[in-house]
Amino acid sequence: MRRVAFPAPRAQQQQQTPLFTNAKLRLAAVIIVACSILLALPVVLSGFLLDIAILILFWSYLGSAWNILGGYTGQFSFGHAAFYGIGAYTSTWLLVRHGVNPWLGMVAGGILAALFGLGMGFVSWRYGLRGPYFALVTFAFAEVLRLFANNWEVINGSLGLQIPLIRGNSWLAFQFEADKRPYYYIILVLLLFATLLTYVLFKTRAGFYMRAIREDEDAAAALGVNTMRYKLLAMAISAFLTALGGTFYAQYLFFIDPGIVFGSHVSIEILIRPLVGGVGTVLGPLVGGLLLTPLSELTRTLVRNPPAFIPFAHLLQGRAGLDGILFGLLLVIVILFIPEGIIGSVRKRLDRHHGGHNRADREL
Amino acid sequence: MRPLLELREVTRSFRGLTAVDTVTFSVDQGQIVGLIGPNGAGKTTLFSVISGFLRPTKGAVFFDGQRIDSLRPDQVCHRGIVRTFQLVKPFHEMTVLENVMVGAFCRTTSRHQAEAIALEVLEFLGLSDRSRDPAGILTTPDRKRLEIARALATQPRLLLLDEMMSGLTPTEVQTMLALVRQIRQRGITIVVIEHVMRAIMSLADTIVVLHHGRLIAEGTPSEIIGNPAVLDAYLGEGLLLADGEPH
Repeated sequence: MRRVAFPAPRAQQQQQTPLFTNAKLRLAAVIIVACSILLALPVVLSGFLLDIAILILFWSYLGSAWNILGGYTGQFSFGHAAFYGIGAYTSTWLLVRHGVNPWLGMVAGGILAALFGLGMGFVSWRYGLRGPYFALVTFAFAEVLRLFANNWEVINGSLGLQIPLIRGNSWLAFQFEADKRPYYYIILVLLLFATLLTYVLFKTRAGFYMRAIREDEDAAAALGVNTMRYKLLAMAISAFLTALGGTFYAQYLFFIDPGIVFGSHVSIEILIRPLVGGVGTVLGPLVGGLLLTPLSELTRTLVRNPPAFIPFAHLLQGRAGLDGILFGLLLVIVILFIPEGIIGSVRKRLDRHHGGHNRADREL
Repeated sequence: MRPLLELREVTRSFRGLTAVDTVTFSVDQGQIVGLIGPNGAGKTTLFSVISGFLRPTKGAVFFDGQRIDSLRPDQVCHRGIVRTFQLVKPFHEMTVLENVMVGAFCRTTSRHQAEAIALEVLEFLGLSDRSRDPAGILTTPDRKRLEIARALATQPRLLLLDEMMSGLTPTEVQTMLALVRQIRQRGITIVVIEHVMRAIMSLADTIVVLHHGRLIAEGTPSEIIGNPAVLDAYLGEGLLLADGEPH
């Protein structure tokens, strides 16, 4: 029997940290209040504001899904539109052509996207692609899927697919045309699930390994981490969750085409929120989503219907694409001044003033 | 007694350049072996071959009687060999404790067990009071300690240390030497690559000298000091027995 130099101490010798520290209690209180507000919001919101709220949750959810691979594991994907599109197309095609229930289609799309992600990840990582090269390959995969979908008759090519409308609300049919509130609750549940999953995952060995891979792959391998396996795991989870978002989108707008779901703008929209909010943090995608989604809506309305009280604003009217430029400019400013994202810069400030000791926020 | 680590005619070349050339030696259980040689002698390449980062072009590596030269680094680590890196690679954004826990997870899936192992290793290395700090803010000597701590947390039988003394002050070198001896007392066999000659002479039981990828001498420190081939190899490398780096 080999001698072990640093055996794990027996259970009774283990240091017991108290189950509830003050910081943890405070954190729990904040979470409960936030969840109650989120649950109650649709009661007061309607129309345009409800739409915005749904979009905020929607993009935060997709950002959280991306964050598992791109943020925590450090594999910067520039092609999450691939998974999103696979999700949207799988459920919609199954529904339109075979009458399969969209909830089942959602799961099928998730599984298909995960498999696609595993294939894409294995090929890229097998040949040692890292950093920007990996980002480029994921981008290329998404573009190839877009072109493929554009020309594939079976899924109606560039014409796209229309989801047949039923009148009114139906949970079974995943359609809520009369009252959009159920969409809000569905995407809220998805977001809470993804956030909780992230929080729990990164407390396990797999989560530690993923973060170690992000920080230094060689060092991780030297310490016994099968880097390929854990990158693939992160990829599968991230792809699966992203595809669920694709189905949600299809059921929300009732129409998809290759450009809408496989376009590069989708990949960018997905990764920009965690990037601004804080890469590799549980709350980063939520903060980014809360900030950027209304911002992009605001710049859009500002340019399309400029308010009268801003002088010369009428000159902006109808300049197509200007809203995108304005949005882009804001992003450049954010990335220049807080490259580690909002959560990251707040954390760094706290580190400087209080040290890294036992702060509950480190886990978020 | 069967040696713990055995290299048989190991060769590694990169597109015609032979970095390690037909090297054969073995390491016994409980030894501290010094691996020395001028810059570019192939020391780090040899570490990479042993730890699974590079496949040997020719030859074989045996650990505890089993051939390991076709295993991946993580598999080699699970067998009980762990390496450190010359340019230390802390996981910057993780705390010191989390860094060491990554190593500890090599032998357990339980987070509590990993934390317990990591805390013990940190205690052993005197890093306990830094355990909650992000690794990115550590000083150079502390980073080197952390590199060793992570490696020890994987419960190795063989520890490969790559230039742990470089960049340290003479006092810090003394502390590091004491630490390496303490690690050996825990029953861990050690191979050290070192540039600081005086340090290695007082530390190693056996010394292996590489030059241009070839093994040119092997023996006790006193045998090596008097070896004319070794003196030739180091000619022009500066003061052989200086405490600092010979540049």
